[in-house]
Amino acid sequence: MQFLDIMDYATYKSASALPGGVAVCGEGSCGALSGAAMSVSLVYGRASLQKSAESLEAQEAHCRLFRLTDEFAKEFGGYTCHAVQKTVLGQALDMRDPAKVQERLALRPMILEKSSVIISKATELAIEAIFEDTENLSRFAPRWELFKDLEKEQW
Amino acid sequence: MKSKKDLPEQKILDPSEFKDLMRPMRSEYEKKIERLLARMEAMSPEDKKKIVKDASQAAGFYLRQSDG
Repeated sequence: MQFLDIMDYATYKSASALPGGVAVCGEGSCGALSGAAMSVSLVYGRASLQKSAESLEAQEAHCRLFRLTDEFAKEFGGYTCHAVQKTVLGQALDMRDPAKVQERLALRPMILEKSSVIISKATELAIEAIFEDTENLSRFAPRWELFKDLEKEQW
Repeated sequence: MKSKKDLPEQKILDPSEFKDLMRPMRSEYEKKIERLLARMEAMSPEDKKKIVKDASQAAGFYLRQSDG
């Protein structure tokens, strides 16, 4: 978000426990994917109790993420931390078991190297999703046709 | 030390009260977003590609820097 001048302390802090599929449980969304979704939603998302199906902002955030999630899964074999690990490391790691700390430490350099590739790709996809012309959203998110004429919420 | 009865009573907000509560925070953040959207309008495709590339590289660097 630094490169778009929309850095935000609270958002950065709130992402602390996303890595490892949320608190290293492995089966939640990959932290890079969650962070990418947060970034796109920061720009286009909803900040009220307006119903999702009536909210242009909520639907635009969803639709802008369709291509991102599809391309992420295509490149890394899925959406969850474990699915991504299986693709890039050849195995899903148990990141909570203290008995496996040594095993994880041995893999640490490779994990960091692979993770930097994943986070770089997720960042690329997130910024492309932010830059995408609204007119193009229907191409990869057909449901946008249902919502594109909703009115922007008035504050 | 405050007792429980001194604390302001919390209630479930209706949508307009929720929005009122969010408004001051929104006002500050949305200025940044408006600036970004205006900046995006003025960007060339090359400018955008450069931002994508620079941000992508920085994200990898920051990840290694913070050890994941």
